[in-house]
Amino acid sequence: MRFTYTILFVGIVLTALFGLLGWRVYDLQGPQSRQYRQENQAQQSALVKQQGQRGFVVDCRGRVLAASNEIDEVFIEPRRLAETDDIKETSDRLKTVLNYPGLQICRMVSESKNPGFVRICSQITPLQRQAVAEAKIPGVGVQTVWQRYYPMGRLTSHIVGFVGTDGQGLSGLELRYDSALAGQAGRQVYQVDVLRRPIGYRPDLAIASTDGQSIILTIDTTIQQFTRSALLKQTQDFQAESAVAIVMDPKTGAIAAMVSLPDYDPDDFSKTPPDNLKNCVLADPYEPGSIIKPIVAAIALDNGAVGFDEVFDCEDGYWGKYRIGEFGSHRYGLLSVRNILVNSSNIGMAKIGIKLGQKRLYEGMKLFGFGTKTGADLPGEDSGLLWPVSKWSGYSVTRIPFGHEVLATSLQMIRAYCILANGGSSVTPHIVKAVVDSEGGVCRLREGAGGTGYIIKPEVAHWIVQNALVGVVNEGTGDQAKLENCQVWGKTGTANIALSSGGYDTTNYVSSFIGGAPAENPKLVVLVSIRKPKKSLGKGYSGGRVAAPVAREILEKTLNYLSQTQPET
Amino acid sequence: MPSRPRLIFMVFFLTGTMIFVIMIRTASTRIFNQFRSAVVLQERLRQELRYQQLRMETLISPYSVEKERTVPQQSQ
Repeated sequence: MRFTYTILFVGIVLTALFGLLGWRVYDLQGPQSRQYRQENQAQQSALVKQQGQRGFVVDCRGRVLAASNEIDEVFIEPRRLAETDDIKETSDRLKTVLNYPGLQICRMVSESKNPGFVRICSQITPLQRQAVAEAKIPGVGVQTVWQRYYPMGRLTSHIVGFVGTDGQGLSGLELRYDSALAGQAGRQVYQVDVLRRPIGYRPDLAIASTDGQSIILTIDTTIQQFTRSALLKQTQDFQAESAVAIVMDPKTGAIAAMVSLPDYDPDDFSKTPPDNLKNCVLADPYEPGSIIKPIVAAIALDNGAVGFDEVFDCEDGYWGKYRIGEFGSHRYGLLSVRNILVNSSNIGMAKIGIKLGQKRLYEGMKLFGFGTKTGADLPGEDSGLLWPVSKWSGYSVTRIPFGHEVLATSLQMIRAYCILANGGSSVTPHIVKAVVDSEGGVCRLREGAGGTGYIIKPEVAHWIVQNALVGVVNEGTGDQAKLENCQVWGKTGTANIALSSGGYDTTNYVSSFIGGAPAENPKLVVLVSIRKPKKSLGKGYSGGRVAAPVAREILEKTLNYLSQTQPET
Repeated sequence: MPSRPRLIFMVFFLTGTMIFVIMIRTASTRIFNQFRSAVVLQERLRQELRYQQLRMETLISPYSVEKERTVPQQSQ
């Protein structure tokens, strides 16, 4: 009887044990299997994150303006070097391997606020990398990261912009096209042994990284160089505060060159004064002065408010009723519309403005794009300022025609002149010709055609360019822009600088020239604007003296270059 | 077959199979390492090539050419 109870007891215990075992097996295979599988996979595999290559930025001839490449850099993990002696020893060993000052390594580690990472040396050679790996110094590692290069340096700094330390675009096209350029991150998964050494590859768990798209610009770096070197020389000669220059195709709105001085080195932007990072072409609106006169004259002629041969009395140099004088105290009597532009008469333009009337002047200016952004594919564009008619004073209709009481960016001004140059058709300035993927397939392409509608009648636009503005260069203030073999047209401007406290700075000016060539069928429109050339140097300060020679040099070199590279058929 | 030689055969067969499996695993790991080394080397060469291309782009850029052209003139 006792034996039977023993057997029964053992049987129950065994059943209970097997029951527990069965439960455990079920638990492992069922509810907890997912967690254990994940832990097991984590132990057996190693994930390596992979960032795709950031896209290229190239000019219209395929020259690289921005590109990325992988570099190796040595870093230290300060939290693994708790004692001062550890830092010293590590620095000494690293000094020997890298040939890098040990004291500097010590200082970098001890001054670091990040306990997990201090970059010691970037762009090490393959031999140095091998030496660091073989030295096996505790707390020291080597990582491969993408580095952005700007082979053109300062030449295209305001166009291309720059990226931050995390590879994110912070300025220029790098910012505007950041999402397209960046690409997508991926990962590689390796099977590893107990010492975390890779022994196999897991393609089933890997996610391929995608390289970023690349951007092809309308910029030609040769023309950009002509423009920058001419502008820089003049800015230095006249000790000017800043300067801008743009070269544009009037038919398509494609920007061939865009320079804003002062510029900066994109590889060292952190040491640049913040003001130098501003692209003045887009972000620095100013009262344009006389360069706006042909636009207002074109609006008036197009509206029929004035006739081509109409004559205006320019009040012998001073119009008391509206308190307007002429630049340089010139005295003019009767002048035709053409001669008002050739001689740049403020009084003549004020009278044209009165004949045109507030409403038509405002609407015409709006049609030419003043007061609204041009829509150029660069960030940070200012819309300028054109007050609505309700805010105009009684003087406004006489001031706007010679470039006061209106703010425009250089890009808005050159766009307006492109409308005159192409026969009155609207254009959108642009700098990106195409966006292509890493395989070379075209993602976005900007077709060449520009205008979608007429802003002014072609005959008015042609008359302004081929008659009045040719006269400015041949007989008027723009004579320094004249070329021997090609008819240049254009308009000079010497604008007062409005003060934030009200009124105008009487000692400083913005000297400008906008024009193009050849007059019969303009291929190029060039804007040059130099801010605050030093008057005390005695070399002159007007647009004709300061800006027109720069425009001539740009036009001469560019037309010669284009005739060599794009011979006419 | 008598049971003793059968046992010995089984022991030898299993041992041989284990040694063969270990050899195959070792060879697989070695080849994988060689493959990875070649891939890394290829990456390094590509990296170096890109670096040289970028250096060349810098040297032949209109900006550098102009600088090279004007510096000797200024020093004369």
